[in-house]
Amino acid sequence: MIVEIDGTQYTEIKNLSFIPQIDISADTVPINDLSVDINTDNDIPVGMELYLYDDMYHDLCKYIINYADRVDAEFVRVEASSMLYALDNERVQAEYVSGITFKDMLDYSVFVNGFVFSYEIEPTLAAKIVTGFFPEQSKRDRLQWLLLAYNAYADQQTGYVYFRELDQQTTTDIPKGRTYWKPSVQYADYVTAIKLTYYSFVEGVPAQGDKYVEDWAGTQYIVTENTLQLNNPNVPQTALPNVIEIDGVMSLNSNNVSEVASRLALLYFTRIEAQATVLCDDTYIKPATKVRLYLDDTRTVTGYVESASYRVGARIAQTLKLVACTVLDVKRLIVSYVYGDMILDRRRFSFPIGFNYEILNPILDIVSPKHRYVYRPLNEYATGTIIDGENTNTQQCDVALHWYSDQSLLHILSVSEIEQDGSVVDIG
Amino acid sequence: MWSIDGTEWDVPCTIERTSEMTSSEISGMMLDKTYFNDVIGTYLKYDIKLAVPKGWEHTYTELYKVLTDPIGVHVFVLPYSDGIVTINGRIDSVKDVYVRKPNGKMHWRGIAFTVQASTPTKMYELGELLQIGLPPLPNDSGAAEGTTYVYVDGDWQYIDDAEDNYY
Repeated sequence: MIVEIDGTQYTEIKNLSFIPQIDISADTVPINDLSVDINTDNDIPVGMELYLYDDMYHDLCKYIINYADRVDAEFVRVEASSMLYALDNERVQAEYVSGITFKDMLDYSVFVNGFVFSYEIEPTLAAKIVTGFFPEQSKRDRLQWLLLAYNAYADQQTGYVYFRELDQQTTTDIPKGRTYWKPSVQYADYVTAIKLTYYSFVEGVPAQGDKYVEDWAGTQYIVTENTLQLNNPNVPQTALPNVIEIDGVMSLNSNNVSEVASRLALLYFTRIEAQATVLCDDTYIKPATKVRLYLDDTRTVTGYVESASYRVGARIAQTLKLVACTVLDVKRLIVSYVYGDMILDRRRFSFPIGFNYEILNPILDIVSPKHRYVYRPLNEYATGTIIDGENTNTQQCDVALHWYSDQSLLHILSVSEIEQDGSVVDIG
Repeated sequence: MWSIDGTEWDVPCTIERTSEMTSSEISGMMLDKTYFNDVIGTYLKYDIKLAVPKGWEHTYTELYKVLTDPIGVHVFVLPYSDGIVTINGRIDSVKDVYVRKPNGKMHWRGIAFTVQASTPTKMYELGELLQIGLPPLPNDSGAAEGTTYVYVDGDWQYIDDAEDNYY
């Protein structure tokens, strides 16, 4: 690992604590931070930017130093946080918004005045239309209301911060060969329902008994409340009522409440959490990534990464906490390679139910005392989808080469290409 | 002849060399029952026993002072294969023996110490580790315990012992 501060790179580091995280429910906005001891004679000023890279200079974070103190003759302890930590210290006024884009809300309501830094945002998220009432609150709370209502989160490992929508479509598979022995799962109590209150506003002078809110300029808005409740369809009859309620977040309206409810259902109705340590290749798993990995030889777990800590050796391992998990059985697939009625070879694989596989078919080289056959598959790949049951796939092959060892005779029967250079023959 | 911190010592000795391929804490068993050994680097360790001749008491005393200096790291130049190697090494302890004879003569003898290298003499960078040419770990196809894998033609296969088939 490499820490860079003010253009100086430090490689003699220890006691690195770096655990990026998000809150899938968007009930909070976790501020990502790190702590590390750096071997240096220099003073480390607070307020400087700190960059963390792996040994191949892949970016891991870009933070601001908020603490630095010498711990012994050689090492200085440095603590740094993502730029979002500055949002706690500033407040924004109460306002009603209607028809303003998400990006404009960030620019004019969250990242206005005070500590200003650059951020990036997914285009589709940037264009979402915000309607609602926001009370006088801290900038961090303002951001949390926006992230909750618009299915978004703050990726604090890309640039300073990158606002994204939760991607429920893309799954990252982690093979057994990169999963440490042994992942674990925990089961939370059943959540029986999710209940959200959403709002609409009409500008005007409230009558007696009306609920109303008032913005920074004194303009009043009459508030109408409605509720949306989703019941958990998978709750046993013996489960005690356990309702997750969200009330008072006035960025929720009739246009966005269903999507928010669905996302919360994804998290709370599955009730399974998992923990696994994985060995990294040249990429790292970031919070909010949907991953699928093996629990053992017979089951896989799919879930969203809530936190991903780093453990450093010659390579790097990550300990992942997964939420909103589903556990699926793994089924065996037998791919048989045949020539006519003769089975040449069989290969066995294990994949989760629903997995779409694409397996490169091999060239088969079969030798007996007097003959050698090279078979080539007629299809380049064996493909299919794993079902809950027996999975088989038969791939036809043809004889490409036949070598009669006692006659020193080679028959070239079915090949893609052939080149001869003197006594050397290249066959494709 | 070997040296400590630039000073050569021409003292008879025996040297036992050990190369340790040190693993990090993230080594461990993978879910496909393969042990991942995360080697940080190759560290040299030299076990040195001195045989200081009679009459060399001054040399013995001076050498003992240098070896027992409370310094974190010394610079050693030591024999290595066909030549020499320079390493930054630490000495954790030094021991010797006090002998008193019936005629009243006494002396210290047999200094022994271990030099443990602080930095590796060989290591791979992260990028090299990822591209070192070793095949990736097999994506296990559900083999039973005790199965043997064979890496053939760019793919992992395992032998079904009962039927002697390749999978």
